[in-house]
Parts: sequence; structure tokens; C-alpha cells
Amino acid sequence: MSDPRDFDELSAAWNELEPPTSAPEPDAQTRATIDWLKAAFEDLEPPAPALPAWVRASAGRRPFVRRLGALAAAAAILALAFGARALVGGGEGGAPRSPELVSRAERHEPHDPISEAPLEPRAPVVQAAFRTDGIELRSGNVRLILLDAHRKAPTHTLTENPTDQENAR
Amino acid sequence: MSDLAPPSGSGPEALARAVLRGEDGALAAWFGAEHRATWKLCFGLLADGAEADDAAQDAMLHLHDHLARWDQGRPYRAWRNTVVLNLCRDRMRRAKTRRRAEEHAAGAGSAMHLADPVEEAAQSEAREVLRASLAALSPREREAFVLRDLEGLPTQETAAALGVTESTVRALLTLARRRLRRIIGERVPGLVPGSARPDGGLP
Repeated sequence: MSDPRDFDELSAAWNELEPPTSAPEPDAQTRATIDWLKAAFEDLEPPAPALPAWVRASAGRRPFVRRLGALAAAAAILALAFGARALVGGGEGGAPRSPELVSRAERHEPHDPISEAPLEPRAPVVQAAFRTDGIELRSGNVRLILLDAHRKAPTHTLTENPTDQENAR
Repeated sequence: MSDLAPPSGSGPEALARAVLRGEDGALAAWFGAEHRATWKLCFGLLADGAEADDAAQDAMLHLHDHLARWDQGRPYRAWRNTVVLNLCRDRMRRAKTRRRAEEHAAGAGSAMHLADPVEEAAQSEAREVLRASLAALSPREREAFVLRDLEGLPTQETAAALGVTESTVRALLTLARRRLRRIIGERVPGLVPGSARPDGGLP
């Protein structure tokens, strides 16, 4: 039978073991081998150190050309933005809209041409001619009142034409 | 490249920051500075010149595309090494699968890789010895040896890049060095301590 204290000593020695903190120093021959291989490694040269296309494409471009590209891109974005605004605005970039029309359109009010027509002429009216059928020629505001806007335009035929009716008579 | 305005700073980290800021000429300067280091790392990790050419091109494009993901509070070189290491691991995995499929199709049991004689002639002897020596290591040993002994990273950074503990790095290094010592001893018989130059050590 062995003494259990022997195992305790072995166990303590085992627990005190520490791994080496660095690789074991090589002997002279191994050192020479490593040095030889390292020197050969240091002397290595790539066979064809040519720049690949993806590097040449970037390196060959001048800074001015790169900035020109950026400017062109910015101009295109601005043009698109203004174009979209013009389309949405229905061509408002042309003649300016009157404030009255704008406000009515925004208020969605119906258009009433009769009430909007000027009632009083701004200058003295001179009556130049008067016909028996009620048509008169006079100075001042021209006022055209459409009494029935939804009536369809009359279909003219030969018999309905007054001149033709007179001729027929 | 020479007609472009030099970006501020000349180290890889400063150049990477300049690329992120979009400075004129920064991309070409960063590529010129980083391609050689990236190619060497690919060569060391893949132990294959032709594979390293392709891998380095892929890695540079990948690094550029993912540069914005680099945490600028951490060392650029560590981030770069991790990205290149992962790309090389993917490449090795694919190459292994491809080789298996080719061997299966040819009905060959041997995995012996014979280098192209034209490629062999074009490469220098030292480079070929380096390539063959690294190819003899297991992928994990090679990663540890390339990052720690050839790239000169501290053990802690090497462990972080490989995603293992520092003890594992030390164990891998010990195995790699032992194996390399034997290989180099056979390939470079005249190598004696203190005269470790590739051009002088070869017979």
C-alpha cells in the first residue's frame, strides 16, 4: 500500500504547474532554419504586381472628373425636383394666377359669371345703332350673358336656316 | 500612380484610413503597399505560387470591399491577417475537395503533387525550397509558423488570428520547427548557424 500523502504531494505539484509564457527558445540549428526561411520569405516578390482594373478605374480618374460627375448628379436631382413640382402645380410656373381665382379654387366655390359681370360701365355709353330685332351697337362694357349654359347647340338644317326659309317662301 | 497626389501617411494603417476617407490616390497607394504583404501571406499559408497569385487578387478585392468593417480602434494588420487567413482556409478547403474529386475520377490513390516543370524553372531555388518546406507542414502548423515566425506577429496576436489559445500556438510552432529543421537540413546541407542566407545556404 502506498502512502496517501504521496498523492497529496503529487497533486500539489500538479496544481502548481504553470504553462511556459513564451515558446521554447529554439536551438542554434533550428534558429538557423527559421532565419533561412524568414530571409527567403522576406525576398519573395509577387510575379506580376500590376494594378487590377478596379484600382486603375478609380486611380485613373482625375479629381475634377469625379467632382464633375457629382455636380452633374446634383443638377439632375434639382431638375427632377423642379419638374415634379411643375407637374403637380399644373403649370403654375407660367402666367401668375389672380388671387381671387386662387382663393376661389381653394375654397371650392362654384363659378357664377352673371354675378361677376360689371353692372355699371366705367365710361359714358354712346348708342351707335339699334335694330328692330333688339340688337344694338353701343360703346362701353361688352356683356355676354349665357342664359342657359347646359342647352345643347342647335342642329342647323336647311329648313331651320332663316335665310333658306325666306328663300323657300 | 506617380502622378497622383500622395495620401496622408504611408503605413498600411494610414493608407487604409485614407482609402476610407476617399482621399485622392489613396486606393492605388494602399494597393501598392498591401499587395506584396498580402501575396506573401497567401504564399506562406497556401504553399503554392500559382494559388497565391489568385488568392492575393481575391484577398485585395475582399479587403477593399470590407474595409469599412475594420474596427479602427484595433490594429489594421491583425484585421488584414485574419481576413487573408480565412480566405486562404476557404481556398484550401475548396482545393482539397477538388483534388479529392479529381483523384476519385482518375481512380488514383496517390496524393503526390508534381510541380509544373516550367513553373519550377521560372521560380528561384530558394523560393521553391521555401514552398516545398511549408507544403510539408499541416495547415495548422503552417498557419502558426507563417504568422508567428515569418510574419513576426507576437504569440498573442497569432493565437487571436487563428482562434486558438497561446499554448496551442506554442505547440504548433514546436512541431512545425522540428519538421522544418529536418526538411531544410536535407535540402540545404551547407546551412550552419549564423550563415542563414537563402542564396548562401543552398548547395
